[in-house]
Amino acid sequence: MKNILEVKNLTKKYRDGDIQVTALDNISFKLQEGHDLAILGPSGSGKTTLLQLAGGLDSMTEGDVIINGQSIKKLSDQEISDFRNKTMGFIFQMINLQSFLTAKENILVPMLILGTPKEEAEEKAKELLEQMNMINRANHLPSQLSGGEQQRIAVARALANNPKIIFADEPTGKLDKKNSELIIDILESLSREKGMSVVMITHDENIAKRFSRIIRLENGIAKKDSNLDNK
Amino acid sequence: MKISNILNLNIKKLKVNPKKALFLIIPVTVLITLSIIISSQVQNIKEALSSSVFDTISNQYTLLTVQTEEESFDPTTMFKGESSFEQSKFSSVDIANIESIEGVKSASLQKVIPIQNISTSDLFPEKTVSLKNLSTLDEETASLYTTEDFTYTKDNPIPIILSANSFTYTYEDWSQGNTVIINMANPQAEVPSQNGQRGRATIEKTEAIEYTKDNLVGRTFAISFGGLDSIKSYTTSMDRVTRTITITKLTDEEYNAKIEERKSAITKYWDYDKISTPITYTFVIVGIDESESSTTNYIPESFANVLMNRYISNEINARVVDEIPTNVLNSDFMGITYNGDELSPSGFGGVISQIGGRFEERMGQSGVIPEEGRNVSASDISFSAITIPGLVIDINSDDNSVVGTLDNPNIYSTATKYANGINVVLSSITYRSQVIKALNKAGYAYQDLGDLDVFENLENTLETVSNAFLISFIVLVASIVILTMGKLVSESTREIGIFRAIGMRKKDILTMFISQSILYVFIGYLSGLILGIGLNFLSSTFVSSWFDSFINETVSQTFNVVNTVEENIFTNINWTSILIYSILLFIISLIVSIIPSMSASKISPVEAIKNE
Ligand SMILES: Nc1ncnc2c1ncn2[C@@H]1O[C@H](COP(=O)(O)OP(=O)(O)O)[C@@H](O)[C@H]1O
Ligand SMILES: [Mg+2]
Repeated sequence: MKNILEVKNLTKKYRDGDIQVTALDNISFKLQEGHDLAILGPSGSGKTTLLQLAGGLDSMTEGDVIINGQSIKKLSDQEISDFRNKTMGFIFQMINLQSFLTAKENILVPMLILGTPKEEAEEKAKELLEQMNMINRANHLPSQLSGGEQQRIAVARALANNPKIIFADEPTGKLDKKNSELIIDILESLSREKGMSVVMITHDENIAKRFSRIIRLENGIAKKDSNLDNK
Repeated sequence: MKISNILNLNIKKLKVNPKKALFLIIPVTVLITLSIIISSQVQNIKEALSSSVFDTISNQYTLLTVQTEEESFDPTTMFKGESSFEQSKFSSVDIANIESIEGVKSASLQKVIPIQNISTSDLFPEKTVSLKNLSTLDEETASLYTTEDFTYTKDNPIPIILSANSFTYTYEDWSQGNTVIINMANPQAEVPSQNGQRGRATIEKTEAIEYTKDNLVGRTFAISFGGLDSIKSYTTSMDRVTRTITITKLTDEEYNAKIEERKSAITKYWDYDKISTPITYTFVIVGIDESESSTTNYIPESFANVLMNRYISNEINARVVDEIPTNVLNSDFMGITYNGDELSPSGFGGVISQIGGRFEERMGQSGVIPEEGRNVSASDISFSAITIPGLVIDINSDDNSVVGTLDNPNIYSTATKYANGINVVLSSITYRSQVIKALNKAGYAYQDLGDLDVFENLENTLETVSNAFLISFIVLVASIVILTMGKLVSESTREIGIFRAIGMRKKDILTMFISQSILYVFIGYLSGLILGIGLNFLSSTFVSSWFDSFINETVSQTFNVVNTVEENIFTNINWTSILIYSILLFIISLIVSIIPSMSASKISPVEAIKNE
């Protein structure tokens, strides 16, 4: 089966003044299309760094990332931007909606960037709002929504262009238990129901367990890549 | 991403969070408002200046009047061996000379009306003003002085342009007693000088009369022409040894005797009443020439012929004899002289030219002072010749000898006229200084007293204000856009990071921020446009009253003809300037906003994830 994501000997070193920090050290793994994966590790272990490199948000020091068969290393800004827009979806720990756009408008933006016709985009946004049980909050600004509601909108936005892969960086970190469950349920169901690949980043063992595969990170080094049988 | 979508996002951002935008919108509003008011009012003031002042001033200042050195009979010159009677005059040669100067549109002779006693008692209460210099002026040149009609129509008041320098009156000052002795070695010590004027060897004093131009223009008044000279109520005698002039007041008997003496001399040849009564005409003042250098009063050319015809006819009609003997003309009477070609004003005929000749004989070629003991009394000279108004003496052009009287009332219209001034009309006011230089180089002394500085200063100030504002405008627009947009970009890193993470290209971010700054500038521009037009309208009253006081305090005291300005001239809007400012605003904003927008586009999508 085709790999949606291939991480090859990925190394990231940050230079902070005179001190050099190796956030990722020679990480390699593959993720098949329609499969999901949890990256588990304590704070500062390099999880976010891994997501940033794999998602083409930041430059790598060494190694390579191949998404959907395409190395992202030498892509132009336009190409990598289009990649992020069309093929990938991101959900962040910090809730990252545009404060000046309503819930629906936030969901519409990726589709407008892609060039989806307006009516089609509106239709899709409505569909997603319904799916997130947020249809009656469509015209609310993020400041008028609770944290859980905001994160559901963020999930909807990540799904807007039907990406092949979703990157979620501790999406429940700032949420209460009930909302966390809701978000995890949605993300967990994506690969099963929609055939999307999901990369779930978490420091929570219990959340990680709900995904097919876990990569344990410790000080930027992959300790264990386990296939869990219960999934 | 489609530009329309990017614009849409900008508008939504502005709607939700207008406060940040105000940092750019308000300064732009203020700048545009100011640019409208400043550029419009600068233009309005300039326009008001040109319609109220420059219109007439620049007209007037395209006219230069070159005058011959004025020489009146001054006894002190006799000691210096100068001829007191020779007066320079201009001819068509001078016209040709001056017209060849670049920048001169036309030159015309100021033809003096050869009438000696021209005066009016109508203008100022209890003061008789004599118009010493009366010339003709063509309509075109007259239009430089007045907007009124300058044509002569029979039975209507005759238009006249008066020189403010004519508004003087002369009186005798006997405060030092009945005898005044003037030491010629130091004449000023004895005769008090007035307003820095040179003290003269006379007890006659001349004072300027205060006047208000507005009260004079449009006034109808009578001028009398001719009549006999007033007889001086004193005698003047000179002593060469002590170098003194003694002025002695006549007793009433002596004075009356002189009048009787003259009367009996005149009565032999003329009807005394007819010859001594001046002729009068009614005039209307159409302009006052207030330039410092001018002393000439102007009447229409066509009226001069009528006037001279009547003036000469009056003398012919007053005669009681058929013919006045040549020797009598030569010794006893003075009048206008005609040498077969040119008419000269009185005072240069028969006896005077002969006395002048005799003086020259005595003084010799070297101009040495006459022998001691042979004093000459000036009063004797003036008494031996009586000026007869309207008398035209025909003289031989070769030797200046008297031929007889010339009994042709129309002689003025055909003769070459005596001219002591030239009106030089410039093609444009810009040639003024250049032409003045050329005139002086050609020997026509012209002192430029025209004080155009006030206007040049104001125009320069206005020019400086608009230029300074234009430069400030450019600098301010550039710095305001760069500062506020820079601030906005740095406050938008997370927003930019999010857009980048969900697929916006660098190019889209660039477009987004450039269009954002243009949007804010445009809003500021629109409100500035409305505010500026409104405030410009409101400020018109203020500017108008300032302009009026400027005109009253500065200009109308220096310059004569000032038109009034309608207040609504100040509500005008300088659309051309506004267009320029608008184009500048948008071009500068566009160029300058590229800088912060470029840095916005370089913000990494990682910024979206950073915990703060
Ligand atoms: N921009 C950066 N500059 C320097 N060091 C960084 C930067 N981002 C992350 N790090 C360091 O890299 C390591 C991994 O960080 P991160 O990927 O955020 O870990 P996690 O997401 O697992 O908490 C940490 O030691 C962190 O301090
Ligand atoms: Mg992290």
